[in-house]
Amino acid sequence: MVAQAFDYRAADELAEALDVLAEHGDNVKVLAGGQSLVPMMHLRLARPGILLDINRLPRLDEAVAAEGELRLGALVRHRRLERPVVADPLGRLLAAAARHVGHLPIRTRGTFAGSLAHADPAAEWCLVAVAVGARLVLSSASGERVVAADDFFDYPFVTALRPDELITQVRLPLLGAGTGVAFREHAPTAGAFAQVAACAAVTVERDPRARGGGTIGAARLALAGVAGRPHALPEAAGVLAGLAPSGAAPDEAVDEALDEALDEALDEVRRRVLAAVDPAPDPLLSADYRRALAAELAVSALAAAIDDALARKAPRG
Amino acid sequence: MKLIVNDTTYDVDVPARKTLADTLREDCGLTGTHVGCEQGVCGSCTVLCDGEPVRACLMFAVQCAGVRVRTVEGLAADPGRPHPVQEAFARHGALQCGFCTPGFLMLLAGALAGPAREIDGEIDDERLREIVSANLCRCTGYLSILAAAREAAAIMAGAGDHAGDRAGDRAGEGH
Repeated sequence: MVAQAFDYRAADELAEALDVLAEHGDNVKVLAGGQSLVPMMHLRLARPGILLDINRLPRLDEAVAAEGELRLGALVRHRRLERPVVADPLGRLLAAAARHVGHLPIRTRGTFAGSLAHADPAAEWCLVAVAVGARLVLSSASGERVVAADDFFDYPFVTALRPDELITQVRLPLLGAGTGVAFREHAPTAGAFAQVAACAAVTVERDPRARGGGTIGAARLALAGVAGRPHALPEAAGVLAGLAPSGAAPDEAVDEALDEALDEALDEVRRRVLAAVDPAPDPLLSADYRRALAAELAVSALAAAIDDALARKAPRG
Repeated sequence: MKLIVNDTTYDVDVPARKTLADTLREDCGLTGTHVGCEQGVCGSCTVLCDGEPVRACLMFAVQCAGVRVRTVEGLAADPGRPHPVQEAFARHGALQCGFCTPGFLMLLAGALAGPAREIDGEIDDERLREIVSANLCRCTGYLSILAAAREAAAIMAGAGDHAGDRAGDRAGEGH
């Protein structure tokens, strides 16, 4: 297989890249990691006249925490995120998700921002971006705009990115100490795209009056693989708000009562997810199976995120 | 363009759409890199770029200006001195038809040394299984490949071990 002939341009400066996009936008594909784009070119599903290589652009490989957010440049590769890049729980969440992204030789090349631009509905990074409320910096020759992840994704492989724009940075809000995180995914084989994936972040606030020593504040849940794009499910996750998870209670009876209340709440989450998602059937997976998978992964992710928050809160012995 | 493969500089004249895998085979005469699926799935074409394992079918050769490429031909230190991963594969019979073998060798050589090793630190069995899941083998059933990978990982992790040091140096070149 050979891609359709194209004009290869490797930009050395951002302005140069943006000029190419301004002039030829519709006829250009941007090459970062190329781990989705290049197979599509081989299969002639993508036939750009110009391939714009951005790998030489300076400073786009930076991952820095500033002003309460993690800023990932367009050339931050999946591999980099396998180890937490910030002490904030967000670093752990990215590391947990990174292990599900393709295989090692894919992760050495593919980029976080490139995955968002590609917008596969089952992609891990699109899910994480929606779950934590990331914002994307879209640069063009005429300036830049910042778009929330929730507004960025439209349909499978269709986003708000205009032909003259380049994602130069993705800004992910830090989650704050006390937040537990979890990522769950079901895929047919190792390294394959997820059939369904769930991402959860739950904040447990210290509260001496609560019987377990803390109460659940914000609980966030998002799912991929049940629609044409990832979605947050605030109504389902919201069931957990105000609950006191067990773990720090003075005696076992209290712990058991708290566990029971939490189990009931998670059952309610399961019911709400089942009611909220409406996946399309495909030849390999019925809609019912996909829906059930979504509910189980959602509950599993939320429960694991609560455990994660409590484990980090345990007094140091 | 100039392509640096196994410390040798090749002057190649290739169209932009030619993959690194095809260029290695057809323009450099290095046919040890095998081409299977041509869409990043099978891993047969895995080579090292600046010490990191990559799919050579998912890179265009023009992207590799200034990159130090290593292929299976450059894995052994000298003729008769195989890389620890090669030795382990031979000892455990980790190949049958051999088509996928160069890809597995480069995948493991890269994953067990160099920049990959710096990210992963200790590599446990679960991690090894995840690493070898990157490449497809239709003959062996993977048990012998895993056995070889375990042994190579242990040898290459061995502090002060001559073979391990050599492998690490080689895979890490270019950094």
